[in-house]
Amino acid sequence: MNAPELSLLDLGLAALIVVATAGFVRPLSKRSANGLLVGMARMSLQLALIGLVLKALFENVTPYWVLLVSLVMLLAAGREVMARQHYRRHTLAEWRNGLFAMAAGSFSLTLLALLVMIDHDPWYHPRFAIPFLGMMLGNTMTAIALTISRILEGAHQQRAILEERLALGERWQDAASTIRRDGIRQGLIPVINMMAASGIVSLPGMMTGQLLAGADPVNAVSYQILIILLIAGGTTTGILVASRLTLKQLFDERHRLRLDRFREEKEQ
Amino acid sequence: MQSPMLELNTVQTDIISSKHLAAASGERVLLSGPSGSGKSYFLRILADLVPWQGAISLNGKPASAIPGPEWRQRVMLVPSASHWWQPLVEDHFTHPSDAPLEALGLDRGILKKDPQYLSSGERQRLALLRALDRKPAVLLLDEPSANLDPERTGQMETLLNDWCKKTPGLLVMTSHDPAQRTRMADRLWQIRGGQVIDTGEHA
Repeated sequence: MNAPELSLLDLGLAALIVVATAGFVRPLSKRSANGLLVGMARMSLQLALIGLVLKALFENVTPYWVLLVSLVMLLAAGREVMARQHYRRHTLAEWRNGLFAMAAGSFSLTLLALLVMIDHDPWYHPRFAIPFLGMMLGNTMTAIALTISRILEGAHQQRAILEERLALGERWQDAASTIRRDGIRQGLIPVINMMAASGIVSLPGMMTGQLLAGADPVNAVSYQILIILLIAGGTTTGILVASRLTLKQLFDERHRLRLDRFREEKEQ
Repeated sequence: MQSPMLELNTVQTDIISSKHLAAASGERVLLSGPSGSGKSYFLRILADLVPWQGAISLNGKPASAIPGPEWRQRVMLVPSASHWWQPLVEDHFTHPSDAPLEALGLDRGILKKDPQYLSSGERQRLALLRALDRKPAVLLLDEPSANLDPERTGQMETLLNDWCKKTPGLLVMTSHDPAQRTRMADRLWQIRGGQVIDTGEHA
């Protein structure tokens, strides 16, 4: 049994709702309203494009194309993480840290899933590799962006306390322990909430998709549990790496707080 | 002068600079200059909390040869407004029972209090004790008696004088009170046009 096809009118109606809500948000925050509209346009275009890319990949299964698409996805995720920050450095190191944290969190566990758990032949088949990586990247990206932003904002808000702890001879690792803890906690909230709500409040996206496509519910559940566990492991890894790398940028080798390296992105 | 404890040679930042400055242990240095001239900033340079260029040494050892945290444990800054991050005052001390609270007119019960409910004067005195608790060699004090009445100020000066002699430590402090300058200065450093100089005046 396949899901009934959606017409452009159906999608247009859904888009209209987003446009209307953006209209309500606009007087409160122009930036957020624009974000909603730009996000909607980008999402539609990107999904349409990935549909075409996947079609081409399925017709011509080679590891090189899969690798190339994966790298493009990773770079895009890295850009997203930085674009969401209120305090920026605009350096290569900043970009590299986001990418490294995300790769550590999502690439490693996606490989593990493809090679060990799913064990399809060939293991790099885009039908598994791309959706798995996409889900891993999407979730680690959100978590890492939250962690980095909480740490950078925490350091700016608690500047005086940080400096006083450093003045008393603490190493940056000790002086910033509270800020790091808050950042990790913030980044883990979505994945912890997702696990708590799964199956009771919400039916996760991948499982919903499989059910709509007519898959066996038990198999759909197994896949969903696998992907959530991988997401939990991947986001936690990514957050730990990202928090460490972000804090290292806040301090120099003499353990001085270096907020002068960052610039505040102003809301228009 | 005996061999200097703290010595600066052509220290420079965007805002402030100094040629040669030196002070020995047991000395009390008073740093003066109009508001906004960079006194607090200069203390932050000495504590190595902001980037600077040049040479600063402690007992002949250059700052670059000593890790930042270790330097700040020895050359310790007490800012004009203190901050507290633990639930109780005593949590900020390594040896709370050894703190000479009575010398500054404080009750021992204050150790069990939440710092955010204390007065600015109490916090200022506790901030000094918190720094002494870590046994620094050089104390950098930014307006240490700004929130204190004359009696408390006298107590604090006595404590600082004792610390200077007995440790023997080096004290570098700022003050807006001309009388305090006369009472407390063995040596005067002055900021003029972005440059810190030793005026050569001694009390």
